[in-house]
Amino acid sequence: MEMFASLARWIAEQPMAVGGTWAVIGSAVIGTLGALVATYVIGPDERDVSLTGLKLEVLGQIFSGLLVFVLVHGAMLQYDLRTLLDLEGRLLTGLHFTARRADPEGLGVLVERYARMVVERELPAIAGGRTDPATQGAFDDMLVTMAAAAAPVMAAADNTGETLAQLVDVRAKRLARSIPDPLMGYAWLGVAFATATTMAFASLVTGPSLFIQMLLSTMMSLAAVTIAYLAILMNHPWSGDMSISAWTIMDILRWG
Amino acid sequence: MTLTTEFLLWMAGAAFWAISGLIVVRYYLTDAELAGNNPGGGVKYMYFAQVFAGFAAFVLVQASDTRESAATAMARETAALRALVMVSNAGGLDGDGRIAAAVKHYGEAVAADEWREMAAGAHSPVAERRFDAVLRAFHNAPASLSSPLAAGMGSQLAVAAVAARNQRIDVAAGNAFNRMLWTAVGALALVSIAFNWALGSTSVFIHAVTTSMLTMTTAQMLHLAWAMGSPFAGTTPLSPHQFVALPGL
Repeated sequence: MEMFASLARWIAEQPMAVGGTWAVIGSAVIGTLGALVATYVIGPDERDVSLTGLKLEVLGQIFSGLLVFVLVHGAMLQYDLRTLLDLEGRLLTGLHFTARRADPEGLGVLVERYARMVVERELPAIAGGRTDPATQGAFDDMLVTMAAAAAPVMAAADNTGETLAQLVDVRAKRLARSIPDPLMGYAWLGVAFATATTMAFASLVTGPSLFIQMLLSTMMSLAAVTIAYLAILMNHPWSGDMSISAWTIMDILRWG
Repeated sequence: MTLTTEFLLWMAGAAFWAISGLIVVRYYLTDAELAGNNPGGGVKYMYFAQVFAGFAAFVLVQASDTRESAATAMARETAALRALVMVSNAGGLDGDGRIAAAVKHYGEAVAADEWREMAAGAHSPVAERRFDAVLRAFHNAPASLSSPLAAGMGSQLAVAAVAARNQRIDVAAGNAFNRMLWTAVGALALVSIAFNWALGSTSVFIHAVTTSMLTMTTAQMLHLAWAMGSPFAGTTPLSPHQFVALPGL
């Protein structure tokens, strides 16, 4: 299953123009091959076009259930991560203001260092399916130094403790949502299997004109492949052209 | 058993279910009777499949949400406890190391005992006692005059850990709705395939291939939903490694 998860990640990392081109070419190849095999290898006597067509409709409905799931999963992932990133950015910005007022050379630098490591190290690592221990170390340093800061230093803001505790919670949620679940590899296997099954069924439903059937099969394949491609992009929110940007955290570096 | 082995077994079971019923139906019905059933049966099957597909999509989303809730709760709980140890230590609240030791013991109890209990939908009394010990150790810690921020933050982290632990146990426990959901989707899947037995073309080969492929597609979706909906059991449970890695003395 890991192979399918890696394949999906690799697809998501490609530029959209390249991925889209391959989706169209691949669909045309699959559609054409299916129609040719069904016409020349499986004879017309072996096929019951109306009945197989009916089963193709049923398969399409079941496949649409799987596609709805991967699309909804991807949309929820994007929404959750954007919300979490926005919240983390706001908390970190508040903390940065407090730290700059209290101790710009000590605490202020620690906050900026953490923000820089999130943008430059952690997000690229997460896009590759890994966490970054160095960024976690920078976060721990920031947390411990602020917790140990003398009372007068942090007197500027009474709610700093609450902000830090929320930051721990939001960061944990963001990391948990960001690292892909290995089971999604199984979902991609399901999408690939259902796409292949759809094309096999579509190939069995043929008519007198081979050209028209090749065209129809290609369009069917294109519909399935395009939606699957979109779902793959949405489920990899840190990779490719549809990736989420960490603007709220980058702002801290600009101001710092 | 690995996920791949389980997947192959599910596929074999699906193919067996598809072919066994098909053999029985084709034995009793003539080709003419089969063909006569197709138009009316086909319309009913399409209606049934639409209802089933919508329901299956809902079950998949629900199962995925269960797994993600469990994973997020674990991450939040361990992050809060980890931060609690560091902040208590840095703020001078844990001079004797009681908080760190209590957190370490709790993490070990969750990994060793509670994980097994959660697979059965329960929680561990041992882990519960050790969690109470963590909270008591924090509440009984001497007040830090030098860093009031650490005490306030520690309280927030302890509250976050309590909420996350409750969420994790709640997800593991499930409810009667889940059982009803699995029973319904399982029964609908079996009936959905049974429709295929009676909808056969003149070619036995094509009948068997189309029925098997539809059955395997349906079974794959169900298996995925089952694997996602059982975050603490089965071949792909969530790992308790975050609890094992909790800092201690």
